[in-house]
Amino acid sequence: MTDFETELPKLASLAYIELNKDSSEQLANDLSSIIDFVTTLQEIDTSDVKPLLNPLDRHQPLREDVVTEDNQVKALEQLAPAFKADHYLVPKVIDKGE
Amino acid sequence: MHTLSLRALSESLQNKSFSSVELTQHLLNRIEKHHSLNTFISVSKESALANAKAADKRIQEGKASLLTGIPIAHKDLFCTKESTTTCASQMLANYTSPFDATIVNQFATQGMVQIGKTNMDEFAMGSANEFSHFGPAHNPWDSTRVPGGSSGGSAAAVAAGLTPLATGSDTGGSIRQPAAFCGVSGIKPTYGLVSRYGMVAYASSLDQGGPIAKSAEDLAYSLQVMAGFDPKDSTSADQPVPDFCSELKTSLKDLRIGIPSCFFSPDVDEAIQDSIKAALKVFEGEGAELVEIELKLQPYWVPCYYVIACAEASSNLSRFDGVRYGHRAEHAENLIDLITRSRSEGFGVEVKRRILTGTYVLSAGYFDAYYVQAQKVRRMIQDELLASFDNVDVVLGPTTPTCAFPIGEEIANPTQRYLADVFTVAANLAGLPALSIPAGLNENNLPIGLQLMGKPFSEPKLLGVAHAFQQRTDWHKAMPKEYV
Amino acid sequence: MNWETVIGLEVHAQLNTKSKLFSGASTAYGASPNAHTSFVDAGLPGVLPVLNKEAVKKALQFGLAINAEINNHSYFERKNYFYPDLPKGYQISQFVRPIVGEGTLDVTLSDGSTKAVSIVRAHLEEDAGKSVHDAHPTFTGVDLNRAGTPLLEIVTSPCMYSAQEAIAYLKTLHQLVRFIGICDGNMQEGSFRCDVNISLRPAGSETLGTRTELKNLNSFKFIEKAISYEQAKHQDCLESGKTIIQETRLYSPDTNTTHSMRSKESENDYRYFPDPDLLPIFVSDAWLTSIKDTLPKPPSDIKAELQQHADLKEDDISFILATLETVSYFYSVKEQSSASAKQIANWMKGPYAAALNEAGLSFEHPPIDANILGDLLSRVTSNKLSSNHAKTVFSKLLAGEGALGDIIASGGFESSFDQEQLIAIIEKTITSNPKQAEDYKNGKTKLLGFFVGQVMKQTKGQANPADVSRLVEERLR
Repeated sequence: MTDFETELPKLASLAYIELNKDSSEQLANDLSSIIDFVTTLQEIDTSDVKPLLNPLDRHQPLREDVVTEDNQVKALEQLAPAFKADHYLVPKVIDKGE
Repeated sequence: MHTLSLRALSESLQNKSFSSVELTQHLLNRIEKHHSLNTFISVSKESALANAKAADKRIQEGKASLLTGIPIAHKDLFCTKESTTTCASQMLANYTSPFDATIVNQFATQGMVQIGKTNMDEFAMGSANEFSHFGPAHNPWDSTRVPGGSSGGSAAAVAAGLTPLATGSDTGGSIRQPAAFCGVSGIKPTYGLVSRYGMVAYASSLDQGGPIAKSAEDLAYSLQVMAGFDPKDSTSADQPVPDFCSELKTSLKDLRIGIPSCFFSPDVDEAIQDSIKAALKVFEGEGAELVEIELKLQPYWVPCYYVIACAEASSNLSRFDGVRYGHRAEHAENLIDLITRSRSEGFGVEVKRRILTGTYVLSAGYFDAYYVQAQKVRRMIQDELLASFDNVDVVLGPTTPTCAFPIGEEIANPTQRYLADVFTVAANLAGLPALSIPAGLNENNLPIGLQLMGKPFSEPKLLGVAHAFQQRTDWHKAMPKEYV
Repeated sequence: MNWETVIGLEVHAQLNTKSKLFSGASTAYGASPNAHTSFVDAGLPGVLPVLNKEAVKKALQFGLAINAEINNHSYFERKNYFYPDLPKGYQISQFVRPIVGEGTLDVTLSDGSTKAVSIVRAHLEEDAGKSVHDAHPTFTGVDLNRAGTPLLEIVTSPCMYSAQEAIAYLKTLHQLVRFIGICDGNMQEGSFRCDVNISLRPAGSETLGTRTELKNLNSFKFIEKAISYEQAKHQDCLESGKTIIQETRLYSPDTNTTHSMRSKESENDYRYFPDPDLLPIFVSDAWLTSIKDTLPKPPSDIKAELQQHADLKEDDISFILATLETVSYFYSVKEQSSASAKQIANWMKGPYAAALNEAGLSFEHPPIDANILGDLLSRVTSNKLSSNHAKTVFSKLLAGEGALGDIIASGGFESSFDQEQLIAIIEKTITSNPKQAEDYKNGKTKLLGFFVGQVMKQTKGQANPADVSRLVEERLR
């Protein structure tokens, strides 16, 4: 059984969600009951069953290779919390290497 | 004016009993009067009246369609250029979409008048409209009680006569359950029937948008506008749209109604069981055949739904990082701080719970045991349901195990709330159409909903059966007396 | 201790579709920032992806060109991580089931031998945006124009054992994707990006050592240098008893070193799962067959055809195979001229290439059309024009001094001697000098020069000495 006290910080880190002292314990308990609740799924024998990816038994429609979009930079700027010289702004990052 | 059906409203507008402007103003006044119900997050007074004026002109010129000039409210997760699209979240509290959702366009093209955006559970995650950044919505039948969720605002607004039609979204029951709690009619279409483009995603393979109104007939007219292939949505079904009114007049004779035994467990309120049994008598009286069916996998429906829904949601909500739109934390020290605090400040606790749950079931080491297992169980659930339709035409049961519960009710843990969805999630897992219509009132004068589920793309049949019930009963006409 | 280097390569080739993989925004390079960012590319709430048919076709073309297994059913998955250039907080990619499975690319190594490089898979995925670090003192700027551009990620097994093998493979792959028309291969613009996975193991060992991944390599030269550096670093490390840390390292061309990338991304659990906004891709056998039937010729086939011309050497062929445009130009000239393959190759490699270099042009937009060059060379072949004069005429054509015929006429470059006349002169010269002819036939081959000199005198130096030599020699046998 997963110990959510230890698991939670890893999950929060992956999900970029902050944990603070007050919420941490409650969240760990909540997650524990949720996962307990869904673990009943493991009772079922699914050995010969293929996963269902989508309820529609269809294939991906394909789009013709045509440019259909206009320049939306003004609209995007309106929505952006920090935007300058046509760029979104974020605190400086180390190059991840492209 | 606010008790009229869509058809009656349409006729009145056509023969000038009143104008769209008058109708719109009347509803805007009612919304204002009953704002304590908190069913609307935003109301578009000016643009609504302007659109109403344009609609009147169109009617005048003889260019109107059935729904021209009739007001409509959209759940606040449908993107609209007019007004904000908040998803009832701090994250998008000031967000104005630069484009309209496909269904918003579809209704606008008909000349419907958008009056406002309705309250909901944040990012559609909830069953009581209790997780809204803008405060809970209230049930017009008893304002101390929840209207249901996540489309609580839409259902309550229709029930209180604030709008004749509202859109909702349904991922695990979010149209049907509030419709049941509020005594109105709502339908979740077959997966793929209605475009999801512009509907902010919660769980992509489960979400469907649909209408909430006062009757099955009104649902049919609305669905007619919403349905159809959208090339912008890869998961929308490319096939001809039927006439949803085509089976409204069909007789119920020889209709085979499947009754799952698991729908009548002791966990279901007695009053609800009684109402459903009474409804069954009505159907039998018209020549329908009742067939008891077994749905052995029912105990796994809700766990299966939660694993998949949380997994997809955890990924769908990753785009909210404070960079391109939405809430952005101030004075961020670095990128991680920016993203983490923006998300933590922007999201409510239920959203965080579901994101973390989703992250867990997708993470290395748990992926096979939870996510893949859930996808396999999902197929088994779909197979079992489809197989039952070999022997029956529709599956009938209560929409919910209880009636509306009090706002702020203490619960032991979050999973208790999940059980409200016990009868509704199957339709989302299997991609089947399902609707809820009023079937009674309990001892506290709270509405009871009856659910009908059908084969893929059998909406005409479902609406026909619902309509037949509504021709012989008056539950759908009931309204809480303060709102009549 | 003898160490063996083992290298595996991942190439991200940008497919040259007009619009993006999942949106109708333009993929054209060089637009102003965020001018090609559609709402779908910006990951706005409510948007959805729709798959570009041409991108699928190009992936299939690649699969067919390397004789790979094609998966008729494949699907997209989400690779989840946070980064400002990744608008949705996940990249749509393929993981468990890629569109192209195992295939092989035959690579000719420097010693002439052929190596069959095993390609494990090629899958479709969307590119991320770009971060700009130097525009602002305290902020990084993000441009999402590139976000959503289709990429084909081509992965080899760890089957190369030296920098030279790796470069040979990359150059061959680079040529292939350009020749079948799926990628423009512009490494400066980022259309063809190579990541190197390198590890060392004791020679003869079967197990792979710990690898490091090298990124930020945008020229073949840098790749070769980076591999050499990293290889030596691994060796130093292992020989001093330390363990290699599995990590991603960036190559720095200024210092010719690699350094560790301490980004969170490298420690991530990507939580891949099938993208529920997209349905499985289905490739019918009929579609695949029609793509196969119209597949542009791969360079290996063109090379084989060129090798049919006995007079073409390896370096001639390499020159012609540099680009599809060069091949196309070569064949165009060949069709319209009596000149030999070798003559055409010499001209293209020599005077023409020099002229292109100087003007900064290429065979894509040749300043002198193939039919004109063809005409010019035909005249040389038939001795209507000496090769010296031909070079002069060529320069004048480049300078735009007029049409070919006019330039020759006004410059008086026309040879008085055509092939027939020349042969007549040659035969006359031979019959007039029977003793020398006899001596030549008896072994005094140096007398060839005598005959050539005689003929040249009679043509007043206007004939082509090489042609004269050949024609005389033919008649003296």
